[in-house]
Amino acid sequence: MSIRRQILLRRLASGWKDARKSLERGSTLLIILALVAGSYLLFHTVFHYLLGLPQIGRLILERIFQLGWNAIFFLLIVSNIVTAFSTLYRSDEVKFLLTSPLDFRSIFQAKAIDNLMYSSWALVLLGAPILTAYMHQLGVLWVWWLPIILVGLTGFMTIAAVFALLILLVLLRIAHRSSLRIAFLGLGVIVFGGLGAYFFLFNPPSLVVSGPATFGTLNQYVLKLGSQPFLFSPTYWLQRFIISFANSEWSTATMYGGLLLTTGLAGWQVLLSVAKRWWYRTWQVLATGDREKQQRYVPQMAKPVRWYWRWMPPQIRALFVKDVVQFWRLPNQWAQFLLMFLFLLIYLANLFNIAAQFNLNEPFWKTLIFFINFGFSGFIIAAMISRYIYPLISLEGPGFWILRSSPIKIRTIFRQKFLLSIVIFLVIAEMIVVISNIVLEISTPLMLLAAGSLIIMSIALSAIAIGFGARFPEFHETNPMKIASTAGGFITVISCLVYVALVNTIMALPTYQYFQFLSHNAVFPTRGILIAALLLIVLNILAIWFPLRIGERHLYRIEV
Amino acid sequence: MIALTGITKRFGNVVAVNNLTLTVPNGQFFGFLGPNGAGKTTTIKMITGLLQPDRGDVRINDIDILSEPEAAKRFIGYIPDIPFVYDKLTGEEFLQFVGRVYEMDEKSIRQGIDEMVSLFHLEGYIYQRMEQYSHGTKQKVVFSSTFLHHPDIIVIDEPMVGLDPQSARLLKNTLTDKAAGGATVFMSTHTLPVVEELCDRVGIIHHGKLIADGTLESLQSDETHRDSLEDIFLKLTYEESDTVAIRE
Repeated sequence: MSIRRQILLRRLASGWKDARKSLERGSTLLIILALVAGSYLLFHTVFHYLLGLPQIGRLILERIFQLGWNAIFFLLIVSNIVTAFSTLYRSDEVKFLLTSPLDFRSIFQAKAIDNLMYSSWALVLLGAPILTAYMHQLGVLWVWWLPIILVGLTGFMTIAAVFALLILLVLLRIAHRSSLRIAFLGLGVIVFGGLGAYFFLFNPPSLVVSGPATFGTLNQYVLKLGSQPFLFSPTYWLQRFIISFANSEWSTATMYGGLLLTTGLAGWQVLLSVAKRWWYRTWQVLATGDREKQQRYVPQMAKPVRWYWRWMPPQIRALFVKDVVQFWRLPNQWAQFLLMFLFLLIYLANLFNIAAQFNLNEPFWKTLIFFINFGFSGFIIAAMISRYIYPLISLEGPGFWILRSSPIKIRTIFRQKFLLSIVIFLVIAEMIVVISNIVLEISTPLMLLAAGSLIIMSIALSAIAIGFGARFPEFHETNPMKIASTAGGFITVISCLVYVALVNTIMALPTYQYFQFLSHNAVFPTRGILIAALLLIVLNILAIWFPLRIGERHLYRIEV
Repeated sequence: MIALTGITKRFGNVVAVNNLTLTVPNGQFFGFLGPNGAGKTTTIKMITGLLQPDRGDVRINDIDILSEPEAAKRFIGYIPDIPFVYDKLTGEEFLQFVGRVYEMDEKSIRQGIDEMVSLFHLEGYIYQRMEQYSHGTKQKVVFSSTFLHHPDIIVIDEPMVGLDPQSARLLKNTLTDKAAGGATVFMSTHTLPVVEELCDRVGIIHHGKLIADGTLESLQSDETHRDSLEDIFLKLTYEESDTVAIRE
């Protein structure tokens, strides 16, 4: 081959590679934009529907906004705390900066801003379309949308970050005097105790309603809830900030916008003052603390493999044990897992309450509650899988050479992660569905339908998380929270939610028709059920096959 | 036996390894030298299956690592330059994990751990999580995990970094014993006295090409008559820019 021809071919190959990279980047951006636009449309439709409800629409909308943003605020605090462990305490960059002539306050400030960005950027992508849809529905002029989002979210995120970092500093300061485990235990007792006291001692009125469920009682119920905001919460300020714009109350809008920003800034200053005194001290707690005692090695006899492991090939068993042990030795991982579990228990406790207060014999209510429960179960599994399963491949991290240089197939690694996810989340999903359906007195066929659907959903959601986890790995990151907050994590969480929404949409109509058949002697919905089954089969094949295929292929090509 | 035939690896427009052909037979201790960025680690990664060559074959005991990676990797024990391990596992758990990944039976794993703990003096550390280990102790655990499954071929990248003199001596003895027992040892290092002391054969790679290959004696007679390995290495890899850098 002539040199000129070789050069030409090489240029073509390199041009194709560049084009492919640009195409990949472009398509990722396009997916993110599509997801943002999709979120906007979804929330716009939901808010529009709510506002259309007579008497109670506006009230429900406000209540949902408060509940949703309070939950986001709480999650932001948790994610800031968890991310801060690696950003502010475990990072090699901090070690390097501490040897430089920079003062502690400056280092802390730089890393705290890093931390805020890492733990909050996904919220901006999700929160911006929600706020836009809300503003659109309330009639805020479009020119104000961007300034409101910038001011509102900046203040909101900063306040959450300040809270989180102050809690962490205090916690580690206490740990300095006792131990890290006791400090965490204390935090756990405060959180669990506080929530327990709130729900069981004060018995909030939002959980109490009497009489059978009709639209009239529902209206009374919702009106009884009222809008009882906590005047000093950032969520309330954010909401008032937007409503004031909608009502052209400029001075009120300025006040609430100012409150968000000045509280954030003032809090940040307080944080910096506290950090100046405590951060380096607490850094040393983590750098030097909690060493295990040395224990002399004693040669042991080989133990036979326990019966419950025997069915599993040794390589998969080895990966299983490693992943489980690593999970339990990362306190921030299982602490978050427990927190999600706590939410789940509160949810199930509320279901008991609903079942006790409402008459659930009407097909409409039965369908509604069944679907809300089914959708929520799917949502929980989707959120947990995106958070805990998506980072699993990336967490192999710099140690991936051990597996790549050993006689283990890439497919085995991939299958083990997939299997691990299915086993864990099947147990959780089935627990939710069985308990909730028993509580709600759902008939056995329907409970079996929900249980069966959640088995398939767990498999499909695991496939999405593992597949995308392998397609967008972050081998240089060791913090699972940060891995879950990357663009790949965002695509995973949205894909999981879209999948859950599609499953619910497909199942909604035949289920309602089935209830009509049971209680109003309507025709048995054979056609509806067949179409739904066909659609579900196609959707699940795609959701399982496509992510696993692209993930496994990419993992095979990765060079470490 | 390691057999590399015309292997080439590019990273974009940079040719890291260029048409490299090399055979290291059983029982030989091979020292692989080269300046920074010469292609040593890339070659090692292709031997161990971490990277795939763009062209050429890598055969391990006559098994093509590209077409039968798992079968070929069973023969290899790899010690990387930076010992990244699973920090949350204890040394014992890590060794058990490696043993199971190599599909050893539980009894052999147990015996292997006993042997390695005693060989590398890990008695006081083996039940601690590896995040608490020093660099040297982590290296020792990685050595243990490599020798645990009795590999026929040992591939080592910069083994002496971070080791105390006792551990360095121990490792050198172990590697010499392994080679004497019939194992192939392929070692990349910048510590030239170690190569002079241990290796049966030396290869020097520069800009991705093998520019010298032979016993120490043959290199000395070929080039500069009884020069030290350091002199031979510097002369072979000499570049105009080096002189400018030294003058500056």
